[in-house]
Amino acid sequence: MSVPRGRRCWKVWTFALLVAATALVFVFVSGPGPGAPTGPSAPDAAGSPEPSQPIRVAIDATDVGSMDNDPLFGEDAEIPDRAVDTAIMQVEHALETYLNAQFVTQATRFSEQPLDGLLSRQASAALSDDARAGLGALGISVWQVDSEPVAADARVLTRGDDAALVTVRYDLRAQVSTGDTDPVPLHQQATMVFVPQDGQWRADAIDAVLDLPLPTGGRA
Amino acid sequence: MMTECLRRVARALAGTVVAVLLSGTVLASDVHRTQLRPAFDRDELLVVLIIGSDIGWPYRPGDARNGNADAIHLVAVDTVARRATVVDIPRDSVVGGTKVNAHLLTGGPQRLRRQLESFAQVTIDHWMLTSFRGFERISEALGGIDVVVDRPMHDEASGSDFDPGAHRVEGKDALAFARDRHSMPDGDFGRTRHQGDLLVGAHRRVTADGIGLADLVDLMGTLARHTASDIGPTQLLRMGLLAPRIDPAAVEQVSLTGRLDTLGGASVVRLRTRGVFDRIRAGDVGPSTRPSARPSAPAT
Repeated sequence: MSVPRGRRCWKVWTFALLVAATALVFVFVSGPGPGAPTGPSAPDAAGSPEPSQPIRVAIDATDVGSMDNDPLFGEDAEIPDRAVDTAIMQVEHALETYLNAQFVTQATRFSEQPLDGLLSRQASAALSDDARAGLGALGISVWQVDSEPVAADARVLTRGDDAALVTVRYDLRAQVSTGDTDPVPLHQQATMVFVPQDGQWRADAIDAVLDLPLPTGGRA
Repeated sequence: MMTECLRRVARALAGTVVAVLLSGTVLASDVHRTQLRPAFDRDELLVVLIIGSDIGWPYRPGDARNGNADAIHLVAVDTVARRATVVDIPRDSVVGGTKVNAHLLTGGPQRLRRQLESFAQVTIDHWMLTSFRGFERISEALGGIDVVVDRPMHDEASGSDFDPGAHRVEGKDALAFARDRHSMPDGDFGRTRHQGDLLVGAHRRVTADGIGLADLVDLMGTLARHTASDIGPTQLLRMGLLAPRIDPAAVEQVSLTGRLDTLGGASVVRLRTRGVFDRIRAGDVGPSTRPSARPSAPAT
């Protein structure tokens, strides 16, 4: 006996909906699957954000050049290697301090405060709201940030016995937990030019892109 | 028939599952871009004297700061409005009672600056000087400079060898374009104008798409290596970062000319400044919005 086409399709629909419902129940009950980022459990009403692991930064000086004008006189400029090493170490520290304050430390992350320690006076004076966002000052509250170590490369220009400009390029990749959802990926790609100012290395010019797809309606 | 039904159901089912899953975690694409450039310590008007010396390794060994100035240009920049005027000054112009180019030989860049300040009544903030070889290297670092050759230039003395048309010049070709006056019907006026063309063309190169922050810093490194100047590394960086933010359409080139004369038996030029220094002094730089007040740009 043949079954009418409409009825046969109705049966298939019923079966499919049952499968879908079962699958959705399974998904909601089981949480993230294998291989998915393991985020912290959602905070309860009285909960507080969990501490995150510090971001480690390692800078590799890939190119070192001089700003001395010896070539104008047919000579080669000498590179002050020790000054270059010292500058790299100090810039590494400055970048690590910024990244941790901007993305990890509970009291300051995603606020404007870390920018004070990063930027030169002139860069601070040129700071706009849009520029703040790309540097991580999004004004959001998150539960936890887990970052991979940051491997940066640097080009150093020297002048006389000192390092004069250090251009650093890095990619920061992290998982950000808002508490309501699975962790979301954060990616900041930046090029920063550091200059010495008042005995410290400060970022004087920056190109940065920050990508953080936040859950809509979440805590963030 | 059954297969078609299954396909329709499968498609609908997949869509439903995806939609339901996403309704729990809707991710909003949120990309923030930052291009942060330092503010200038000195607001508004910045005037830089650009000098090309006829002395310097390897062509004419010696200290380039103590040669004759073959190229003399004032670049006045409004750092806030991002507009600029480039003034091309013929080397034979009488400034301070003698040819302007001789001041470099007799007192270095500082003396040339003082004399021009006195003549133009404009404060010059910085000077920058290069040699023949230095200019070659800078043009190479830029990847060439675009110029328009409006008449045949084939000159043994300078090494120029250009047919009319658009050219991208670098290295020895760029230097030859800057030095050739024999091919120009107006002689040194035409050569001076060409030097200004190269300055304006160099600016146009750094405004091209695809030049990133690190490239600009590298370029400033090259500029520093092949010039002498009173500009520190950080200030040079800030100037270099400002340059791409100035629209080439906001840059005016004023090639000064004048009346030919003789002074002590030497051929000299009595400059006609056409009010350009008055305008710079008043902070009015860049192409004029008032055509009647605009100085004539081309030399004749």
